[in-house]
Amino acid sequence: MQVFKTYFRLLNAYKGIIIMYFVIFIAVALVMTSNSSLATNSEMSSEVTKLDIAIIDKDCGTLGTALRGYFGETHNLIDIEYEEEKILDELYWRKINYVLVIPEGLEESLLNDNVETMSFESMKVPGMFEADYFEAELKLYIQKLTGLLAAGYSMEDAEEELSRLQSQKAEVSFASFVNKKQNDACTIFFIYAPYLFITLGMNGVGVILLRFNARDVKDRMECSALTMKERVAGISAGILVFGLIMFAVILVIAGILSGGSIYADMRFPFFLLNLFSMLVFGLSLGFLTGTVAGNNEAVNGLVNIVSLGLCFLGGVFVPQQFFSDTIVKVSRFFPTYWYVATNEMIGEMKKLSSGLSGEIFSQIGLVFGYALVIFAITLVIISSQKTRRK
Amino acid sequence: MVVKIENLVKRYGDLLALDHFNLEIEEGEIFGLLGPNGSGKSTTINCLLALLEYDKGNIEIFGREMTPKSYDIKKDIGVIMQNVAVFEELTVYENIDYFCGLYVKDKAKRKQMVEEAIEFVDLKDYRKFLPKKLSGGLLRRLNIACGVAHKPKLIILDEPTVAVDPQSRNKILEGIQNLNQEGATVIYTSHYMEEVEQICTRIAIMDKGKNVAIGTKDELKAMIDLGETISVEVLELPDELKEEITQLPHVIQVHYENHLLKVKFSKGKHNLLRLLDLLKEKEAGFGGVHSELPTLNDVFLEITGKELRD
Amino acid sequence: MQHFWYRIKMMLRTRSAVFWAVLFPIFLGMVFYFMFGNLGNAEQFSEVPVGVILEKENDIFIELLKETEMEEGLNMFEVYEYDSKEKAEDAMQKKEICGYILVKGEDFSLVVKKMDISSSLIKTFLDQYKQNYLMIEDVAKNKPEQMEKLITSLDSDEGVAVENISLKGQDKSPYTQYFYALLAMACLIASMVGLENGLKIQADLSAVGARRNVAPTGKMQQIMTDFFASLFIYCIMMTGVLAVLVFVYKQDFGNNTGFILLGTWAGSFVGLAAGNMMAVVFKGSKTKKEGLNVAFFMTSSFLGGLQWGDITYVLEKNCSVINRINPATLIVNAFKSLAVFGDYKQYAVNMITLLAIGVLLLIISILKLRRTKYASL
Repeated sequence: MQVFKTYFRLLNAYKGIIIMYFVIFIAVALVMTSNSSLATNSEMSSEVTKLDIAIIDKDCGTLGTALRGYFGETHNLIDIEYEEEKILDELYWRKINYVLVIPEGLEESLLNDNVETMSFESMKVPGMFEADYFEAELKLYIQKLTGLLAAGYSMEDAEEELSRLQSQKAEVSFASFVNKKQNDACTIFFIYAPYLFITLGMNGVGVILLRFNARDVKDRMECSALTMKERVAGISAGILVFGLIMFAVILVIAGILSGGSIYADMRFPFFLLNLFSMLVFGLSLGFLTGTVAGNNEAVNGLVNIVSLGLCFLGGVFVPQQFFSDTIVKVSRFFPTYWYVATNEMIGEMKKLSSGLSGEIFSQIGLVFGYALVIFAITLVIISSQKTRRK
Repeated sequence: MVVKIENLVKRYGDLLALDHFNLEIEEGEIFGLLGPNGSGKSTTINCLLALLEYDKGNIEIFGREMTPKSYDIKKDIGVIMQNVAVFEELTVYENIDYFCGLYVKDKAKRKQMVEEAIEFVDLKDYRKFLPKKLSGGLLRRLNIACGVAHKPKLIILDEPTVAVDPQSRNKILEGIQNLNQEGATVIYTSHYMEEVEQICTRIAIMDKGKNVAIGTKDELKAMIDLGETISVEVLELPDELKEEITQLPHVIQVHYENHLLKVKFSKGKHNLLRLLDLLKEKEAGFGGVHSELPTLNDVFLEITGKELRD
Repeated sequence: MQHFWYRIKMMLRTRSAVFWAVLFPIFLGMVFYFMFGNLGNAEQFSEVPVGVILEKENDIFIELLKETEMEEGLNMFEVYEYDSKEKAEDAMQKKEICGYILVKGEDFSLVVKKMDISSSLIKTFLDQYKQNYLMIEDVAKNKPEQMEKLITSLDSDEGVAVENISLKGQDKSPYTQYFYALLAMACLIASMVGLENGLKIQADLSAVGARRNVAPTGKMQQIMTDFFASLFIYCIMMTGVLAVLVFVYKQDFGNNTGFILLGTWAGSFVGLAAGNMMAVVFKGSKTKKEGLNVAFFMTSSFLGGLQWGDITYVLEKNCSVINRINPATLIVNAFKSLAVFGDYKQYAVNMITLLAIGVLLLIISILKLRRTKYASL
């Protein structure tokens, strides 16, 4: 009991840092959850995200009106002056995703089938997926438009025809085994749990163990009447309670995000198990840190490298769907990858098929396995340190 | 006059650390500030060095007012703090050079001074050691070297011998006397009365932020009534005999416990003889006899009514 | 000058503060290099596996689906045919296909698992097919004589081109900003050293501080010596870190490398000044101040987009003032506006703000330290 109490007394000294990581985590998770274009508590929709588009018409003809009319249906049109610096600023802060400029005389050359000489102008942030997507849409529109013009349509008729066709879209539905809530707030929120578990595992467990492991404290404890068993039990209980507090916080936030519905969800037990595996992994990392790190500065340094490294490679901060095959090959070595993959699988499942459960459980098992390995490595290090001191 | 402190008052919240404290120190002295822990010795030193804010009073060093910016005064002061104040990352030589460099800009001159300081504290074999590799005593010696390398005219030592082994302690005390002989005025604080008695030319006894007594050790001892304490091993001491001893001339106090008779006499002659004669006469068997002259502890005890050491 | 070199010696001997500031960006830089190095190369497209169930034959559609090319020699889709929904869904669950198309003559419906890039691609293809089909049907009805021209036009690749008014920057990868955030954090870690400088000059916080206070060398001179010695080391370290990013991790900063180097120096300046300020201004123990310091550079880095690059955009909408004063954001934005937009004005504005913050922090420390006596030691 004494050791257990001491654990939390020591933890109290580091509450500032622990609270900070909590706040960073909650900020990351909540902001991303609420900003994720996919995350909604309503059922998943197949609509494409609306972009903020500016169309600057220097030509002042029917083409501009046509484009505005057409793309105004599916995107947000932003009014902006043609002023390069201002546009750069707007692009920079992503208040605008794409700026299309219709140069003077474009419509005329289009009508005269003299398209080689003229072109649209655009401004976009390079490498931004949404902007490229919009550009592809634009090109398809122009292709159809020129086709119709070639076929002798007037600009107005072509515009009308294309607007009519715009609504003709393939029907999209989701497979029967898919849970339409797959992108609900909780599923997205849970993706970020590894960051909390790893940073706080290393800080809340690592730093405290470091204090217990300090030579003089350790010697004093070894001389004390406490048996080894009592000490280990006390520290373990401390770690366990600390872990459970983190766990509880995650669950409470999930409850708030889902309005309580997550607790009744059939996916909940699986989420819980997956989260728990990550928690155990985070605590095991803390255990290792407390043993190998020499001082607080080292812990602070390690926390950042390990937590950010694992989270980036695991697809916590950058979605796994953007990973190339090469990265996936590397990422598969990290438990965070499996955690995120499992989280996604659980999120999209509706009922547990035998094939799916096998996969989910084996992936969760893998994360537990990693935790076990780290735990074992730590024990080996501890026992080797002991022999060295003799 | 090297140091002059007038009516110094320093409060820490409700605690009155210095209560209208006065002190004057002449050139060439080894001046001891003696007092129990918490009596205000370090506070006095820190005020003197213009590190601490104080509520009232004047401080002059070398006849000029001491302020944080009195660089011309500071350059002639050497300080050895209670806590070891060295850089963990610098070696013995580098530490001394670093601190000496804050006083002496001339490179060649400094180099010589650093060498002399290393010689002085006898750390020649350790010049490339980092502080963490030094034992407690050696570390204290380094601490002293850092404070005196620039050959100050006034050296202030605040408990420099705390937690130091006897050998290092003697070296330190010897060194202080050497510095004094070379012309430095020394202020030395300690709660070890033996040290203070051993080296100080003048001593102030502090208690509760006040200067309760000041003078040479003989002057201090003369201030009190106690002349000597005579201890005699007596197997048995009847109460009547004890009463008779009390009646002897010059006796202040008689104490008998565990077969040991302790008699305190005021100044006077033949005290021992009279006591022993009486014991012989009453046929009280006695063994070893031991006579002690008063210590500073006795001075402190008599003035404040408590022991110097807690 | 002697003390300048001694401070440098001390920093090199302590290692940890220097060590982490260098190790952190190099290590995470490696992670980013592996991840974004590949991501940046335009998400190398591979054929999207798609299932087809023919409820009513449509040979033209199937042929088009199979033959449409993403680019020369690379098909857009890899087509698998199934005879029942069950089989197709089973394949989908096993991740063999991304979705399947139910073909009912000229009517299609798409079944997917979720809306991601692959599903969007299939959907766009279907939409376009459907719209083109209807358009051709309309033209055939209204102007049958012009059919040929329409088909020719649709078939030809010629159309009005979209020309990008190229932004002046050369950076085309959206992920480079993570490298910038990394550099920003590396700079701000300098605050650990700044904190140490601040602690070791104060008599009430360290024994060494007391000794330095009683010396006849002014405090200002001592602080500045330490400050510039630390800055000197940090500038060298940042140069090294940047060299690793450029030469080992092949981060191409183009012509801007020099400006980025300058930026990291300015960042280190702010980091050091911030640490110094925290040691001097705030009350509390050394541990407490160290905690505060970690909180400072982590929070600043977080707001600058270390964990999540888009945070600055969210802040810009809700609380843009943070983007104007947060040191990490200023560093990242200075680099990004340069690399992506070639915008030297933005770079200059950010740098000047950064330096102004650094100078301000330094002035605060100095003013506070001028109060030269301590209430208690």
